[in-house]
Amino acid sequence: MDVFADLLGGFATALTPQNLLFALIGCLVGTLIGVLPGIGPVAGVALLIPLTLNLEPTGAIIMLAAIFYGTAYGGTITSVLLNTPGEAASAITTIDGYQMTKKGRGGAALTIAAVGSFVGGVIATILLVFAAKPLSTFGLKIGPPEFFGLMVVGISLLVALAGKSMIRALISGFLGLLIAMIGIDPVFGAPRFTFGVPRLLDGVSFVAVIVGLFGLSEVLSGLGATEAKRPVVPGMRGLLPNRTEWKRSVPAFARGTVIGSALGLIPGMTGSVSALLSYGAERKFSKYRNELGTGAVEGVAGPETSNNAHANAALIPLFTLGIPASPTIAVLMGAFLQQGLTPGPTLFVEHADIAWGIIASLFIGNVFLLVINVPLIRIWTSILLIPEKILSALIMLFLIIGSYTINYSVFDVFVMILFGVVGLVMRRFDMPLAPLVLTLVLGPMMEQSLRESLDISQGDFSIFVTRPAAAILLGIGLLIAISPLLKIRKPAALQEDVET
Amino acid sequence: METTQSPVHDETALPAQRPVSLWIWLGIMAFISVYAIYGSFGLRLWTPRGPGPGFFPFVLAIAILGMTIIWFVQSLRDPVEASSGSTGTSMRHIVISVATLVIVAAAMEWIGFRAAILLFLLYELLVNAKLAWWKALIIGLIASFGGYWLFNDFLGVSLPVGKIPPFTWLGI
Repeated sequence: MDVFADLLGGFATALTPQNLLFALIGCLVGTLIGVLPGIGPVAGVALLIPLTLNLEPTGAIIMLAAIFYGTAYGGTITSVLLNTPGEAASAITTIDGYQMTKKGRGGAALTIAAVGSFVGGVIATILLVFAAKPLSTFGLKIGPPEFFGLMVVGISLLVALAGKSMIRALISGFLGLLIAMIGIDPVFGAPRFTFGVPRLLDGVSFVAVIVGLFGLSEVLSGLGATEAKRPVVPGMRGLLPNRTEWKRSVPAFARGTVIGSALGLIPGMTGSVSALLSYGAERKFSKYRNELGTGAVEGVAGPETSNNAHANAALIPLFTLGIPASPTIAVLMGAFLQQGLTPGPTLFVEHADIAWGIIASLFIGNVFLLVINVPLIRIWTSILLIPEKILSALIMLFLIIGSYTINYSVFDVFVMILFGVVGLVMRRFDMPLAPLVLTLVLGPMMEQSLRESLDISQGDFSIFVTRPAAAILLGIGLLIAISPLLKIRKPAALQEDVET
Repeated sequence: METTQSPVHDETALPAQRPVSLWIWLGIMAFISVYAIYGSFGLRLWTPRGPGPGFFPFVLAIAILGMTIIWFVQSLRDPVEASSGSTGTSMRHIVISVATLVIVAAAMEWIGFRAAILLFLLYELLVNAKLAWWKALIIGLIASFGGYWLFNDFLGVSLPVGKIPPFTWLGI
């Protein structure tokens, strides 16, 4: 089959010593980011983008993707050992994970989480392998109006599911689009909102904006916080689950994989929702459901499998249609664009070797996470012994370096600081950050497809209703946008989800 | 690591009141949208070929303005929520940290990365983290000089060096 030939070619690319090293570094850095307070997957991936600009595209994306799914595992460590979710998708794991730690089974919980993450990640990647060709072939057939419609649906879903208030989510989304308009107009070449500043002719660096919004604002909002709890560092013997724990985890792995893989495909759904629904499934279907909440291994196995399956499945819309399903994926999309690659159906035509190399690296990265992270649990937990205020200062140092190296200019450091303050204010007033990030990355493409569509129709907007696929997609987008009027309630988990 | 949007220090809720900061924020949103609407007219909204450079920003600015007005009206009508905003102490920390970052960014290209970061870390570690001076100095030196070596020399990411004496004399 073609797919297997393509995948084998991908493995040939991903298994070069250089790309293996990038995957390994990505997994280690991702886990570290997941463990560290004040820096999440969005800012973490964004921060590393400038450092990867000198690398060849395959290695750069392999490393950034590994950071992305590595953070999910790092977040689990603090959930289990400290009862503090390392990142939003691991929040539900605190319930049974921490109870297991209190019973002296914290190490076993982390191993189960690592194995579950591996199972979920690998199966979702297999799904990506089989979905890649048909979905990208479909993607190639759609024109600018349909592409515009597809982006409207993606953004509408994220906006509808983000935060507590639709109005604030919409403002956030529109603000991202407006910021994306800064710079040279792509059709007429006219400078827009550049205030005479030459640096702004290329637009505002999305990396600086994202690092400020998600990194600096998180650190600033934690200033003055009470000192974190000290983790219990498990010994090597305590890391091994017993036979009963393995046996009880298998059905939870299966349920978590199905839930995470399915929800990962839907824009706006985050890993936290997958994890939450997976926990709900354990409550309903597990033979040991009465033990949930008291340190049941299913409460760790299900959600952790689910959130990693979600992370890998969320790459499917990006790779095949060029639509990012979450802010972290939007940042990853930005990394593709910075490398001169356009994620979406054309990726498999123009850069098939790179696309399949990255897909193959997902399998390898998941193996790395399993192999390296269990023995390294002691190292990760010892990082948590560093006082949070010292970590905050060091994280700010990395934020400065990361934003400076975008263009080797302090201008981007100022942009980062500005958006750090903006992010802090947005958090203060419950304005979700995710729509801004998504629209900031998608803005230029959205405008381009809108203007190409109107170019085709010579300025006639009816092109969006006369082409059935575009009309249906825009109709769906509109329906989602007016969902608050229809009293459609969003899942409670999404209202507090920092990733949305 | 991403934590929830309500940081730990926000446990002490302030008395229920509509914060002035909300009106200021809404005012900023309104100003940005009005400015963008005004700027869009100067960019041409429509051309014989279809939308001009100002069309998309114009539509977006109108949308932001409309949503801001709705938010404003909602804020007036909705019952006042107990504020969970930052306490005075943490707000002071935030303002000082932001000011420090701005100073570091401004100074970095003049006094060099190593000196600017060393001073920044010394401030953060001595004043915020309340470390002993010698611990702060060791961490500051390792992070600033080590960070410079790691990024500049090892990873090939060039970081600024001082342009004015005595930093030029010291070669940092």
